[in-house]
Amino acid sequence: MDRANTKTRMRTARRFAKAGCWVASIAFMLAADPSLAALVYNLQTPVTPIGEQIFDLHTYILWICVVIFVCVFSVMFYSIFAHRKSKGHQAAQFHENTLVEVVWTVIPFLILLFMAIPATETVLAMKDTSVPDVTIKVTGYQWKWGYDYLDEGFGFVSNLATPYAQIYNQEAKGEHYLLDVDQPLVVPAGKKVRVLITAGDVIHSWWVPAFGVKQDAIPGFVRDSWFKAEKPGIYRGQCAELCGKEHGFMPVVVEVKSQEDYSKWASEQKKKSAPAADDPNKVWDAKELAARGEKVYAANCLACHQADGKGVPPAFPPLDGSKVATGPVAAHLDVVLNGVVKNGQPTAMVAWKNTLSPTDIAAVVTYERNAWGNHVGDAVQPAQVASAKR
Amino acid sequence: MLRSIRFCFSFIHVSRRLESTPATSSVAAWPPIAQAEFCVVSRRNDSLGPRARWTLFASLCAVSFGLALGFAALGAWMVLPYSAAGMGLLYGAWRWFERHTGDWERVTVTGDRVLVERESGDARTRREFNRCWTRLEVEDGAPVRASRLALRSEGESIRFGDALPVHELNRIARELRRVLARR
Amino acid sequence: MSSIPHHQGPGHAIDDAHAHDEHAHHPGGIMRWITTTNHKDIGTLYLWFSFIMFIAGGCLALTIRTELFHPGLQIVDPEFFNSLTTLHGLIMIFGAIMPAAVGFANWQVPLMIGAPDMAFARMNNWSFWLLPFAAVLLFASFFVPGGAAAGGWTLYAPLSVQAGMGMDLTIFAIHIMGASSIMGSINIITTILNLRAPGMTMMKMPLFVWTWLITAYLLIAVMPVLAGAVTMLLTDRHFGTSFFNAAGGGDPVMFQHIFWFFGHPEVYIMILPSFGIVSTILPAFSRKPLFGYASMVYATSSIAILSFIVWAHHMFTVGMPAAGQLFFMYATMLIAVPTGVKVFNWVTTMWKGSMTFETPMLFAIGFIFLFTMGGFTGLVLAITPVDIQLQDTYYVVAHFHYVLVAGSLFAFFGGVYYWLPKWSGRMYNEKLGEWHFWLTMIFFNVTFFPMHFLGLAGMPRRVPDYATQFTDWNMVATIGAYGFGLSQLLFFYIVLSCIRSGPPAPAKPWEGADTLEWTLPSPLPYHTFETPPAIK
Repeated sequence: MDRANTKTRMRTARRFAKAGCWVASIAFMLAADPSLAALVYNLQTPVTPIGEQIFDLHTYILWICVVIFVCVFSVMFYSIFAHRKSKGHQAAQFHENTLVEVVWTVIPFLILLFMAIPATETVLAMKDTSVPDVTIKVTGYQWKWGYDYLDEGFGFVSNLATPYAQIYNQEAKGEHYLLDVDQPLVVPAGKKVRVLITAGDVIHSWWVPAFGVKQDAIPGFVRDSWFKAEKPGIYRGQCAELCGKEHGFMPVVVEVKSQEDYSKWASEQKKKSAPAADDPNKVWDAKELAARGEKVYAANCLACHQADGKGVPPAFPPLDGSKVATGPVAAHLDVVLNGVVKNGQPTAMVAWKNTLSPTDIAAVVTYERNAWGNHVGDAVQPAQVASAKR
Repeated sequence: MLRSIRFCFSFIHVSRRLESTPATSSVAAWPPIAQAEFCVVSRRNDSLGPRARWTLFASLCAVSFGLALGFAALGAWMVLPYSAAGMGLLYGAWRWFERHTGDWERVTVTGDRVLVERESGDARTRREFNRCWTRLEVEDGAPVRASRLALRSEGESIRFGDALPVHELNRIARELRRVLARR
Repeated sequence: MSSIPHHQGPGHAIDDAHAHDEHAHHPGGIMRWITTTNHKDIGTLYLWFSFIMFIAGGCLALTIRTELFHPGLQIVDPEFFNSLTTLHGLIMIFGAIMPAAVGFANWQVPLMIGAPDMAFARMNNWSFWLLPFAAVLLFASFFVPGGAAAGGWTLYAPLSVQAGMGMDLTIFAIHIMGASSIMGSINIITTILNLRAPGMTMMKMPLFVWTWLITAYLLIAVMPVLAGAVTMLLTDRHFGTSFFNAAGGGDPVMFQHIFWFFGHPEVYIMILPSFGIVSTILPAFSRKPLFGYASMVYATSSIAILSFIVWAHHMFTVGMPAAGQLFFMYATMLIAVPTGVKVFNWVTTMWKGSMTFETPMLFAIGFIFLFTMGGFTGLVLAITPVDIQLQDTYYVVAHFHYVLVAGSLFAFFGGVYYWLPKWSGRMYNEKLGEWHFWLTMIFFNVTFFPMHFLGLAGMPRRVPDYATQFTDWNMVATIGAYGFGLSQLLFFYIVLSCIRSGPPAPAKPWEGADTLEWTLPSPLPYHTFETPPAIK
């Protein structure tokens, strides 16, 4: 072998070694204490028993993998160093050994058994949704989450609270950028909470990493999951199933409160949500309605129809100057209440009658008829909505 | 010579096959093997054989229709037509292939004669050349079909060797050229 | 068969025919490529097509990475972002990886088993020429009202039922590519089984041929499932059926079952040919026979069989009963056994060899190293509870890029460097080849390794924007992605300069290579003939 060639080979070898060290060090880093570095590189600190099991399971499997990895690749890299032509190594010609084959089929099988046992326990624990203390129905919509407290009889919708100006880089990004909602799900600490998960339009996925809960929300079907958060605090997650345009903008925020705080909060909610809050027969003046409608619009309609009412045609039609928003009230109300169905299929325009109160619908319809270039001039009253609903 | 023996072995195989076909009147006219100076039979090597082929077809049908029927039972019956189309295409392709597995070609050099015979599907051709005037050529059929070797003599030419594997073809071309040049 | 006399500088193959007074006219220019039925031409077409798609899909990926360099929306709007991820996936899978594998099969299978050409030469031509139409449909969908499909490459209903006309074009493109794949597979399976040279028994076939045999079998079995799935999507969209519409009595989750019943075998369809290429390169540069040939064949077959019973591990979060989750977890874990056997066999093949490290070998070793890492993350994801945490996060993105880029793609690079001297008759620039390897290797890891961290920490995939704590790793990944993309231009340069002006390659440039194709001259003459000497 000429020297230059040997040199290149040595260089190659050294480069391999470097790559090896690099990967190994990262692998070790992975299992280290999360507080050592500012960079995120491990599962979030779990706050539920299931979350802890998942965390430990991952660390356990990862370490087994690291050990196997080191064993296999130290053999390979030793071979790369020692059995090279440039060192004059003569090739052996063996190419079969049944015993060896059997051994390295059986050993991995046994290792897998040791992985499967704890994993099975966790699967069974995750599936056990029996005897919950609180049951909450979670509904995924494009693009927000609806929460209904089935035991308490109230519910609300949780929207992204991060302002558009932050998303479009016109303002500095806040602390909980994209992970902030106007109204979080509130649950009591130390209680078994069962979540019934479904969706109103397409498939979403309700995910709180710190709880170890991720469950697809499937329209037309109800699936369940559970968690028991030990520590009060605010935990943030996101929708985990691609659900269209604003998929990245529908966070899940759960606030875990102590039992007393939770009870206080729940009774307040019940009072607030009582229909009396908005007297359906109250007659509003147009200005009041439009002001309230703007807020409703921003929370529910803006994502598709845009702040300027121009929409994103053809998927999301414009409202500014549209036939619906400037035509008869009845038709406009019908679209908002019942959604749009094309060829027997629900479209992105879903029915709002069960999500928004009659007052909100009256407000937003009034707003739409009188915003931008629309000047119909009428004010739609909650009573009209209630009768249209019937 | 080892190679000639092997070629003649294939020859025996083919001639036996032909004897069993009553329509082959020319069989008697073929020179006996012992006299042949050079003889090569070119056949597509049907390395699978009909039995294994249709067994495999059955297994693919079982898997493909099994899946499709399973899905149909769950209400998703639209997999079924595609399974049928896929299997239909496979069936057609293999039927076509099978019709041509019996194709063969033979080049025999005996004394001053060069005999080229071919059967493809139902068509049979048989040519005889004068050895002194015959030479071997490459016919480049590119790009719409594969190339073949061709024997050319007195303005007439006949191709052969379609089904030979590449490395065999090279060897045969060399050998045949030598045999032709010998006289 | 002893050495075959050959002449040959590059490019002479076609000229040789001129030595003879009779030969058919050889159409030049574009007509040659449109009408060709020659397996080598078609192999070349497939490989170039897949390279073009690789670059196009790569551009989409770079746009994605650019948007994700920073939190906030900068260069694309969310809907277009979704189109980018969708089309990136579809183009890379159906446009780049699969056609590249078929290209290798076209070139190598006939040569390796001693067949004169593919079994159905004309069908071979059709199966290639369908692909450009599919590609045009996919790219055209960016320009129709509503934009390109934006429901992810998995096209989950009911989101894709909602979508605009781009989805219809995508469905047609998938049909066309599916037809192409079916025809290609029928061709390959027939060639391998029926056209082996005498003496080439099944258990003597090179492993590349074996892996493609199994791949073709899988393709024929599962392609109808995909075609059926997208057809039902189409009828749900336009003809009022309710296969996947809960309101009409259908089930959105059934789409996922059907899709992944195709999709999981598809994963192995994309990786098995690469196993074959690596199993060909390693012994050649170790100068030692492949260890455990028979067990490799059995391992490949068992992977193929297992691929039919693990599909629902892609759907652990849809909420199936515990028994279902456990079954699919165990079945998925089992795949680690045959895959492990393969890795052990490869390492043992290298053990006590006499190795040199030319570019093909570097890529093969890179493949084993990184593919194994992808295998380990696959094992982590097989564990249902962990998968539920990591499903649809960047961890999954990292995992499948480790097996599809560092797996399939690295093997294809290795294969191109390995066989290019045979195909073109010229040597590539070894130094640049090694550069290409190291750049690709490093930038690949810079791009995709941080994605493990992002996924673990909770960044979902398919989002155009992310929370600020994910910023650092996203920046690293974007920088890596640009490095990776630019490195592939080097590959293009290496191949181009090799074809145009590389030094002539000997018939067998690799000392340890022992498959049939190396007994033929380089470059392979157009019809793999030797040049006949002048006739007296």
